[in-house]
Amino acid sequence: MVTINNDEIRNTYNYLATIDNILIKEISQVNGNKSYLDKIVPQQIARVYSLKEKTALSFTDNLTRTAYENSVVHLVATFERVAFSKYRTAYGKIKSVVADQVTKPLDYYKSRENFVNGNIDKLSGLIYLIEGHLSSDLLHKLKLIKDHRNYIAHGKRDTAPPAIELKLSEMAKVLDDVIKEIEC
Amino acid sequence: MALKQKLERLKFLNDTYKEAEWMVYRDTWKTDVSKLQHTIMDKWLEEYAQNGLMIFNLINTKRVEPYIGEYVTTILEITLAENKFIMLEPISAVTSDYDGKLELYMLGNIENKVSIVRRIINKEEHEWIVAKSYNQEDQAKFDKAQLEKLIEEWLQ
Repeated sequence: MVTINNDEIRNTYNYLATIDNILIKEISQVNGNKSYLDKIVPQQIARVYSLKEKTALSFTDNLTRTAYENSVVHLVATFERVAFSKYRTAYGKIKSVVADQVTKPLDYYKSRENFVNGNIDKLSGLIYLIEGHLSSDLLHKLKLIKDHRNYIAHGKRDTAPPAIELKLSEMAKVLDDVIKEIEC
Repeated sequence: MALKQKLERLKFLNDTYKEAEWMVYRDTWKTDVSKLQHTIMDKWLEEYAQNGLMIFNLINTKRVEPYIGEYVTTILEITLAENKFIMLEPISAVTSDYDGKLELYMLGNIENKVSIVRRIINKEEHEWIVAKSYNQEDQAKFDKAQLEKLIEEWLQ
């Protein structure tokens, strides 16, 4: 049982884990009973994958793979939303303090605002900002998740996949731990 | 693998493998995968096949990957007596850590798959590691005993 403190990440993880759970239960029914597949697929593809045992099992494996990949993208999207919202809030506070103390706005803060709100790749930008504040293990796992998300989201063309995939629960825990570090 | 090692490895790959070298890397990967599959068929599980308990089949499959482009490799399919299938499927020759991976799973049970990752030791040597997760305790050298143990688990 994984403990996730951030509400948004926890909710997203709970939804994804539930979908995964439903999938596992349904797929287990197909093993040894290929026609069960017709009960769970859209009507227009009934009897398309269920005629042969091997085809039915390949279909369920691809279903599991697709669900996992969707979950990786969705979980990271939630993390980005939470992390950037926290960064913007922190930036707003810093900016108001600086504005009270100096007569000329500092370029550093201008560029930081532009960086956070600009067109730079969001997750890479975020990692650049926080990498000095994370343990090497946490940073390594965060980069692994980023690489994996990019691999899936960019059509498996430009980047290499991770050798070992993190479980969804491990991924949620890592992202939650990073949020915790940002909040400190 | 620590971040420093990972970055050093990436730098090593960038510096070492120019286009021609990537083609050599691709061919070595294909050879290593093929050797592993034949070790499984001809040594590790040979007695089961001789007793009619397993049937081996190599299925050609195309891969398109960053750095090394398009190539053909094979999936090893092991048919068990009870119409169950074990698959050893090459996924990627280039991975963000280690030096390529395959997935080993029972068809219809991919939820419990394991990664078989290659670690290049030097130009002549490599080793195969079976990994259930990132946790070091879930990783071991891939050998006959590990393979038999996994098949046994999946058949329970």
